[in-house]
Amino acid sequence: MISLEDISYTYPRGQGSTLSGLTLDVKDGEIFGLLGPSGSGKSTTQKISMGLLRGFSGRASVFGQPVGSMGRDFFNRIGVSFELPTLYLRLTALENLKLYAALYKGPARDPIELLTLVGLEKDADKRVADFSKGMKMRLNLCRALINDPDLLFLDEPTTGQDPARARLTRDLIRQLKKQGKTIFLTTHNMAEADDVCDRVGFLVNGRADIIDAPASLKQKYGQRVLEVTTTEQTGLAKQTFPMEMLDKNEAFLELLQSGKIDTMHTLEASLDDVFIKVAGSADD
Amino acid sequence: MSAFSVMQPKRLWMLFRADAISVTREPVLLVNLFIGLTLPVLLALFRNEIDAYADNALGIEGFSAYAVSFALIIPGILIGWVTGMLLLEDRDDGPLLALEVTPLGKGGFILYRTLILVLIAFAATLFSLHFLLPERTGLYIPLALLISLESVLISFALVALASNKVEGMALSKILNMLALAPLLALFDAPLRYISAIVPGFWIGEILYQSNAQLSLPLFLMALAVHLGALFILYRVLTRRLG
Repeated sequence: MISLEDISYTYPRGQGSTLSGLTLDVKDGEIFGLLGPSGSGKSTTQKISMGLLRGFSGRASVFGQPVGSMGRDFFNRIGVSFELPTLYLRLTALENLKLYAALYKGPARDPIELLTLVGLEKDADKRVADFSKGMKMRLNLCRALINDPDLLFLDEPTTGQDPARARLTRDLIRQLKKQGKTIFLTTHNMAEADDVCDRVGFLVNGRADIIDAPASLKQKYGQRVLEVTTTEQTGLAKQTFPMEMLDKNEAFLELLQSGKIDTMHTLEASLDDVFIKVAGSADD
Repeated sequence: MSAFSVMQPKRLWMLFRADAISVTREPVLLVNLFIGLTLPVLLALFRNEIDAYADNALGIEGFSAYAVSFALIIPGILIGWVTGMLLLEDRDDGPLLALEVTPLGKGGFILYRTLILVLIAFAATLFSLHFLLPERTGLYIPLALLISLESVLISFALVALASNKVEGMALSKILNMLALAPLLALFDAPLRYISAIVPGFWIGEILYQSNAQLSLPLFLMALAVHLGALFILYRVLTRRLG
């Protein structure tokens, strides 16, 4: 769906390259998360994929065609939800969606149906200026879906949303994948990326050399040990045991039979840990 | 699909409808439009009273003859200001970014705003001319055209020179002074010649120097100065809008 090959880009008057030889691909129907520290070039990568930035070197193609070769018709097939609200504040939610719907060539999705998807149907006739940031972000998502796009670019889609609402938004993203949409997501929220993404790439120093499924990365960067917490007279105590040959580890088996165990879990890395390791190693 | 796809009637209507709703929901914008359109009518209706007052209180004879240029250009300037402020808001609040990723694009949207602005300012100037200069119909089309370009200049200048809405409000105080620019045509040389780079000067030149018939070279010169200024501001504007 998206193929970026050896992309380098330097902003005019920028200090150094933002992207230096970035190579990644986003497959049809997958949710791909591009992760990285602030200023690492995530938005630049999205902009290049959307054909909004020129002057880069390397090869970029979307829908199997070079970026920019499809003219403005390209935008009939994509939807973009930016990190910040991009709405007409004096218009109502419904007026906003009807306006954007008129800008596309094909039939648009029903605005009320979209508002219902994000739980804003009761606020359809409310002015956007009176919305909270989380509500604006949900409306942003509706705007990105109004043309029923094949490819969605989502930048921090759950910003400003409470945990319960953010979970519903993540459910919606998964639903969109089930409908066959391809989603290119950028986020700082590692838990979110872990939850929804099929694959993630870490963008560090203008490159994404580490791209894999979250589960594989967590395993690769974690420790193959089991951490056991027990209650002792002096308080809680933690012990770790290597996963290898655990069934033959006498100390562990003894502890298991002692009945002192409170909790027990493997110390696989979280995506946060992977992020810190990857970004940290880049600074070293 | 190109920027010209904005010409599709439904698309044009939805964009215009959104702008109209925005203006009617913002008292500051609405009041400015109202002032712009009522000023020429008030001057036409109370011309004698205004002349008498200016003569008695300020010692200026035939004040309304000078005020005509101001009253004529002010609707266009205020309509341009309203459009410029809307464009600044679109940049500050984000819709311009969202429009960039639609088939319309920023270019198409700016084309729409320019077209609609020219049309409205043109109609508003014709309306003002009808009240202020009912006998000089030969000047109607050239003056309406130049003043509508003047309104685009104001709109572009706001977006090109102001970084945000607050700066836009401050800048508008300076830009509104351009309503006095036609009076520069009444000055003697060398100030007249220096003033020739100010587009509004040429509106005064046409207004005060032309009689029943407009001189074509004068009009072409006025048009060239306006288009030149527009070209420069458009370049700055497109750079500012990214």
